[in-house]
Amino acid sequence: MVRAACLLLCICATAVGAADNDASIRDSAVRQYPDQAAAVSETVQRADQAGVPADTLTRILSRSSQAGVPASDFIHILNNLSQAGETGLPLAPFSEKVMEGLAKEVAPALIVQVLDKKLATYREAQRIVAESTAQAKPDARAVVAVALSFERGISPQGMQALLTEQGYEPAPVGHAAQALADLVSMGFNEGEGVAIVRAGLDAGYLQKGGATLTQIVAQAQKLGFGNDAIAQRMVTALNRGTPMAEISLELHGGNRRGGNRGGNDGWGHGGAQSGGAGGHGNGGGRHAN
Amino acid sequence: MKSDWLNEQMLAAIDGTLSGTEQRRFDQALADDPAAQARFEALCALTERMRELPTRDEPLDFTDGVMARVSDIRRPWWVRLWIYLTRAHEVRVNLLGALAAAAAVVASVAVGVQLLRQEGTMPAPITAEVQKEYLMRFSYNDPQATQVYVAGSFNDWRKQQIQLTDSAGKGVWIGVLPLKPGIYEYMFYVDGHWVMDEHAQRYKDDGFGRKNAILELGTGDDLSI
Repeated sequence: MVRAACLLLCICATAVGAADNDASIRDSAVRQYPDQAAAVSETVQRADQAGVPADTLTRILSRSSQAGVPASDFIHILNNLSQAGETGLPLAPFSEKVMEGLAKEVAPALIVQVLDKKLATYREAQRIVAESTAQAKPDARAVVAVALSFERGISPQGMQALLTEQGYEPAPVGHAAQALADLVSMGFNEGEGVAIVRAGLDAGYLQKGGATLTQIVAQAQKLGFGNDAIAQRMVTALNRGTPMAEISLELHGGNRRGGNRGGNDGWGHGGAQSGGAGGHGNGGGRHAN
Repeated sequence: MKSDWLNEQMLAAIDGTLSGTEQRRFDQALADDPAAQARFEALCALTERMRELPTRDEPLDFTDGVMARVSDIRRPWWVRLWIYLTRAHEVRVNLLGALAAAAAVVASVAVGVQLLRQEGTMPAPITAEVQKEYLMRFSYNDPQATQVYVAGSFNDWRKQQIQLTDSAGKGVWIGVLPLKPGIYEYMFYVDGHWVMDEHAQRYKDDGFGRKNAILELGTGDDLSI
């Protein structure tokens, strides 16, 4: 029993030590910013209650101290993290952005500004993912993927047009958002990108990811097809349920046979659409209407 | 002098270890000294009484216990605690006591783990699957560079932590990094300046006036075409 009591004592001491971490972080923060001790202490406590990990708080405090971040900006930064935690957003993107800004020796006021924008972006992403997946607590990875797409230039309207349905699984929603941003970065306008990705999403091709879809499009671009033609033919193929691998084969087959890049002859199924069904029976034969 | 010799021989006489000559000499000396004789008789009586006392075996840790108590007089409490904790003990327990102790330990561990997790100092256990790691090769081409690092969300943007090496001396700086599946942002840090990876597949504005390369590992499909 004595030994059990000793073991119990050791375990309790460890737990108490961990609980003391936050108190020691508050003390460190107050020592760092004595002029605004009360506000800083309150801010650290709020961040702790919002679920910001102790090691994250320690790292931010340490880096802020090294970079000479003013107390007002330090408080603003931590409040941003607290708001993210309180609204159920993943914290890593925010803490990483703080670390990035401090590492790049950016002015603290600009870091605050970027965090404000990031918080708004992530809230919008959270709302869209919640609606499209019909989940009260949206999947964090999907939220990050959608937010990243916003940060890569996709508009909320474009994302809304992509995810008009409800009841999607979270994973394809994230993959679709990333694929749309990829297509736009490859030169497609947002409308074309939405059309392609939406067709892929509805056909169930984005369960595991969107890389294959964008790779096929990249191949088509390398082969010289125009973006509008690619969009049109990808949508047609996807709506027919053509497997990705076969779309890729048809793309190469069409190119070898037709050679009329950017036109209607090299890639597709229906004769009326391609204007040369006879020469492009590779896919059409297997996926007759 | 004779009295001293007598006193010394009394115990030997009681134990029966005197030789014949010594015994005769002892008896003669005792007869000549009535006071010594009285002392010897008293000693014999005391010895007899002691032999009548019940005998008990000493406990197994008798010596250690005695030595610990002797040591405790001089040693501080933390030393004594350490000695107690590190020394082997014979422990006798009953089943009910052992079960109660085990239950207390299990409850304490559960409470401790919960507290640690609330504090964010312990990661949640991976229950679904063991995450695989990818070996990511970073390369940067600049014959003029003297020091090249890569920094990003995978290392908390510590700019001088992961150094690339130009082993061939031709300005091709290479570093290999094990990374878990996820979406990462990164830049190169070349001779004190942040530089974008020109060969990345994806980029995004960092919000601070530069562009981060985006690296996505294992979050999408692995199907190749």
